[in-house]
Amino acid sequence: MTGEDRQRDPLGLSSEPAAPKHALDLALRYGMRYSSLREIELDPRLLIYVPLDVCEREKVVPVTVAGDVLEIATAFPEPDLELIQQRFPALAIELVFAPARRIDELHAELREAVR
Amino acid sequence: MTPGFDGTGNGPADDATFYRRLARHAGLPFAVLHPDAVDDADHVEVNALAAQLLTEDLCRHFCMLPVAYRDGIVTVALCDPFDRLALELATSLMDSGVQAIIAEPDDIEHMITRTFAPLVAPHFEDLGPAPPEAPRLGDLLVADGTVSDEQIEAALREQQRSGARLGDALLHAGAIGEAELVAALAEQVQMPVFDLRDGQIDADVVRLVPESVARELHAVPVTTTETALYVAVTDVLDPDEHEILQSYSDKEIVALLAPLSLVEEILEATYCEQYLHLAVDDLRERLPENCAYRVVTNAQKVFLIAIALGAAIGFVLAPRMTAIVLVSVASLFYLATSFYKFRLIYKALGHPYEVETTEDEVAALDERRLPIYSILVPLYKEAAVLPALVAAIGRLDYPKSRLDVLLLCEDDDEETILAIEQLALPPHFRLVVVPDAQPKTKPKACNYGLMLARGEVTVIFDAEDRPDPDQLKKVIVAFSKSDAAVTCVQAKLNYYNPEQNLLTRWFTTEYSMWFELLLPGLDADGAPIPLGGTSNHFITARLRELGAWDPYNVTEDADLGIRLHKAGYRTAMVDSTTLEEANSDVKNWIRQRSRWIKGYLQTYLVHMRNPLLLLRQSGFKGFASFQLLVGGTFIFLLNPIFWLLTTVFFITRAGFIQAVFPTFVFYAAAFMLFVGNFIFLYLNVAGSIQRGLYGLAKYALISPLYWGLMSIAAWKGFLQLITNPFYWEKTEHGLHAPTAGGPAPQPARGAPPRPHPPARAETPQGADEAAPARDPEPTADLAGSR
Repeated sequence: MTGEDRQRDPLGLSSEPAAPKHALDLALRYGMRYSSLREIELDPRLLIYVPLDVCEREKVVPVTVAGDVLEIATAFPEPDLELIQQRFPALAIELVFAPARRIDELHAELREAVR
Repeated sequence: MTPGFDGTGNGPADDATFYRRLARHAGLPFAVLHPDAVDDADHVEVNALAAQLLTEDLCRHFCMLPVAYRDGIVTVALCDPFDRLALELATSLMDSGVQAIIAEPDDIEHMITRTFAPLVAPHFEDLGPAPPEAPRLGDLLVADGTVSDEQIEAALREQQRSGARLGDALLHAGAIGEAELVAALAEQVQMPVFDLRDGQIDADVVRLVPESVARELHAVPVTTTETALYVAVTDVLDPDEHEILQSYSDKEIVALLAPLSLVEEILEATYCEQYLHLAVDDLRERLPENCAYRVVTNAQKVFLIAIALGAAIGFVLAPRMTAIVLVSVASLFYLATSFYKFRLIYKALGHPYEVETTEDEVAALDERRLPIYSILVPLYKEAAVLPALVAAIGRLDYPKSRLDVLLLCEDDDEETILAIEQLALPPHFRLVVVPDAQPKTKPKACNYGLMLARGEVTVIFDAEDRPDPDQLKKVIVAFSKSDAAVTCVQAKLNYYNPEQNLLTRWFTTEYSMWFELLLPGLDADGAPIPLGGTSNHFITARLRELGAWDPYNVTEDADLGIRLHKAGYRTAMVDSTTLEEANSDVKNWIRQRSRWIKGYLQTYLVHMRNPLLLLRQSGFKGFASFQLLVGGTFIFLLNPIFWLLTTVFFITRAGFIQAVFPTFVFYAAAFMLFVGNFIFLYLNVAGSIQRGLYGLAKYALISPLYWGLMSIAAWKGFLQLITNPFYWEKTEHGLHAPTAGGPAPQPARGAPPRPHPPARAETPQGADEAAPARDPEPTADLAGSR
């Protein structure tokens, strides 16, 4: 953890494990939104947009689709979503940073759901 | 800015919205499948046939359903258009390209249930003929430029006349190829096409359905998965056929459309060993008592040795008496044979021997109801005669879509096989390569071909035959008019080259007498008719049941005629002629005739293994006829002996000769010498005249020289029966110079013979390229003569 991280503590996230902070850091650094993905109810149908193997490889999870925009939560900047863009040319993708650990949990849930 | 992504309170979109949107995002069509939603702009009708391309399990597991089939592409509705596993499975199982469209899972589920729900046949109700709104085959073919309107019109006329399906009519007219037909049919009935791209067909899978069933239904299993058995078929399966196939597998039967030739190829490739085994050994194993595989049985050996010993002992102890006995027996045999032939001819003259078939009856045949007709043409090194053969078959007046012509080639005869392949024959011709195996005889090839024959009726033609164009239809009329026991209809044989030389003239007079006088007599008498090797038309199923031809008998046709009779069947004659090539070369003729005589001896020995049985099965008349006609062959062996005795007696007046002809024997022999021979000469003349071959009559007068040749051949055949019983003396064909395109079939009986260009015997054109061939197997006139 860097000093910079600690400086961000006022956001009240100091009790959070390292990962979310990392995600938040990234969000701030890249000027993007952040979500803890706490209360999310995932829609397994969204795996049609982002297959589970892509999710796991890129540490992403599709969060919602509204209109022509697909929101994808990611643990790292610049995930490789080339495939999704190819498959859905009429779709805009928006990224939102989320804690890696939460994303892992969601993957496990999804895997359970599609089994 | 996006609307809230979580915790916004907006629940997930309903399926309808979600999947429509998904389709839009993916740039794919969205479909509503439910039949009630027919008014929906996105409604897509599920084609019942297409829907069953995949198994229910698979469809449910991947939530997908094939909904249409067109141009080799199957349209599959699914909710995840990028489910790679599903798409790969669908592509490989249906062996087609896959076009994905998106539908709601519930909608797909519902349609899967509708498609597969009834466990029994009902879902086949919509399988029958293509629904009225389905495109017509002709339209499809015209639309993609495969055929012209004119070709369609011609095919429609043919369809109306013969009842052939439009596709078949086009196929047989050469307007389209098999592949095009299958592609169009697949589009019309919405079925996927099976092809051999992957090249792997598991013989074990093919064997899941018994050969006979597969052949009958034209349906072969080609591949299998955990839940499905994929069956290559040539047409939409009807519910009964489906049920039959289903009875061989617990898995779901999924039909794939394939060309008939491919289905047959798969069957032959899978079963060729069994076919070969049956072709060679079926008769031997099933009805050994009727097979010439054993030349003489032990009992016969004992009997023959006993006679030989008795004669030898007799000659030692009482030579004169023994000689008198032998000469008496021989003379009585001569006398009996001759009287029997007189009787036959006398009967024939008052007996309309053919089943009467009029032109009106032939014309009245409804072509739509004609059976499939298989034509077996055994070939060996006869590439040169192929064009004439194809032309002769082409002239036959029979719907091509109901013809099944099997060109039977031997494995080692690359020249003929290649020539057939190069001819690119129309689809009613099939090349069948008979695997290499002993005995290499015409009957073995025919048996092999018979196993593949599709026809209800089967006929054998030889390569150089020119059957009358109306022959097949006349035979159909004959079968329909005859009693139920008639199993074979024999057409008349004649030669197209009688004028080539003296030998062909004699040969023709002999044939004329045989077919015009003797066979009609046998027919009138209800006696067994030894068949001629060509132009005998059989009811296929009965021929198979009889064990077909004996591959070990070198006159398998004559033998079959006897077996037919023993089985209680009948042979009828029909007034239609097949023209063959008469053997024009003495050496070649002797080879051919020696085989015929050897075959007759074989046949005699086979059926005399149990004389009592023969008597019971054939009746007294049949038995007597067999003795005198088939047994009469022995006369040709005796002839030279008597000729020698007569000649020596006239020259030397040797007393010992006079001594072995006591008065009663002498009178019998003298009667035969002066009256008998005269009458046989007269009959040869009469036979020629009966056929309208007036020019040949004078040559018939010098037939005794011909009888001399026969005896030479007889001894050759007899000796060969001992040394090499199954050897097939090949007869060369093509010694007659063919006229352009071959002579046309000759008009039927009574009409004057078609004039032939005079061909010089000493310069038989075409002899150079002539190849040895198994010759036609006409029964000779083995008329006794001294």
